Amino acid sequence: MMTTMAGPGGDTRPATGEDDRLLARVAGGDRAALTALYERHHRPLFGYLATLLGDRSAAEEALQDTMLAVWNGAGRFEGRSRVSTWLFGIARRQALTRLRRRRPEAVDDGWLAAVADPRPGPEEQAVAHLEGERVAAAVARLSPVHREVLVLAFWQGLTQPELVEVLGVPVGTVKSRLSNARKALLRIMAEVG
Amino acid sequence: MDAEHVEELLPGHAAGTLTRGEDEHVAAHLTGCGRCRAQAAQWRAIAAGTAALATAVGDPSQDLLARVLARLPAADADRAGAVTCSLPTAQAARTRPSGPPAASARARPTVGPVPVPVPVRPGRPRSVTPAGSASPRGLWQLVVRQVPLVGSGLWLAAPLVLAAGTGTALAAILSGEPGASALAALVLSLCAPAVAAVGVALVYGPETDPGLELALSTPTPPRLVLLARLALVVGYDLGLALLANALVAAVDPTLSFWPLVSLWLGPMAVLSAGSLLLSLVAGPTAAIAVALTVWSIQLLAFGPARDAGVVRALADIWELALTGPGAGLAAAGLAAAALWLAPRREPA
Repeated sequence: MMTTMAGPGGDTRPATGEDDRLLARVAGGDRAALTALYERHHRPLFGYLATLLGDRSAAEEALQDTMLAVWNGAGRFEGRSRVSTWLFGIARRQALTRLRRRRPEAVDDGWLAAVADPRPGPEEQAVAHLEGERVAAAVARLSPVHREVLVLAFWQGLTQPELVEVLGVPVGTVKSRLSNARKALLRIMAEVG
Repeated sequence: MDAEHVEELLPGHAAGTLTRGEDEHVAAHLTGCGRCRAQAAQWRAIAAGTAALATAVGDPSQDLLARVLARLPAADADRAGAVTCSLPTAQAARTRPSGPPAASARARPTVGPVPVPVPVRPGRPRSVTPAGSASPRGLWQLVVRQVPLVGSGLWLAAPLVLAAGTGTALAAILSGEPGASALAALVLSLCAPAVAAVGVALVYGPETDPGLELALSTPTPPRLVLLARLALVVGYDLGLALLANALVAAVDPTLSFWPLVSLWLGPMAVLSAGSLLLSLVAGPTAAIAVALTVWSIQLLAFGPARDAGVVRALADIWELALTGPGAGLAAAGLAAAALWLAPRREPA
């Protein structure tokens, strides 16, 4: 049985000042700092990776490689973004490396844009009243690119500029990807009934 | 979308990531708009469902941290050594799915097939520093590896269009009719800029080009990837146009090579740079549409309205902006703006 978070995102984000200090220590070769950084971030990172990859073991491997990349790359962090955003950027690259090897279904945003009518239809009105579990099941059936943007936005609570940074796409693409994720979700739920 | 509605803010509203001002604006709008209220409720359900899914994933294995730490000595050795270059490979980025994921109605993260186990190499996260690809060899590799990533249609369309144009030009010259040279020059000056502008518009398109998005997700700076692709496509189109130009100049003794080049080089540079900028701002389709619209202005001079004042004025503007020294400046400015807009990424 799953639990539904009352406030998505916010409570999974540790304070940033401590992260900066820990990362500086990691850059200096401090293993205890890496351990502390792992403890603070492994849950959100693992949740993101597992949701994106759809597979626990692949997510664990990606998380391992993410932490090793953090160890190797900590000295290159310039503090222009939050540490957590930077971590998600690294984790994303690790996940994409794996997705490339077993390329996920190609997502045609243009096609998805045409799937749902912008006016709320009966199924759209129905979705508003659905319970979290049913929506979660539908989210699990979305394409990785759509699962990803939803998890980052709603579970991690990344702001729009942070989504732009982590996903590496223009702000218009972030907006359209969110919108298309919603439409794809509605379609899946309509199909499932 | 109706500007009065707040649809674009609704995801942030549900996630609680809007500024206070935005939140208040949304809340005020929702009180009077049933459509947005219904969508806001959807987003809240999606937010809850997404969080439920990610939460249900649970924790990774307890020994995962130990496995990371066990790999650190090797990683530490890497740190002192040379950084390897792992530019995006065409094969990796072009790999297509082997099949749809095994859809699961269960809210567990087992929505895909079990992947092929990934061999874990001790302490070798694939990383590259910008310096790694800034060497001449690294840059060359980067450019070469973009070749298969650029759509094959682009590689075929450019020579086909230019071959058709060159064929038309040569046929006109060989016919020996009066004005044939002028017609040949015109055909060439029409084809070359259009081919380049359309090609460049397709250089950047994460929505239609999964290969590029993957390439941009590598540690290679996105601007460098964009520049490499730009150099490749522009170089290709430029080379083809010069070849066509040489052929036409060789066959027609009244046409000289460089004066002929000057007819299309300026428009090609400005239209390509403008097309790149627009493709970043508004997408490839809009970029191609605008570039071809601007390009077609010169055709008006041959139409029935060629003596109309507005057509003449447009032709003058075309001359001023797209040919001569002004064209170089305009192209450089547009290209610089495009590169400035290219997605940025924190190096890691």
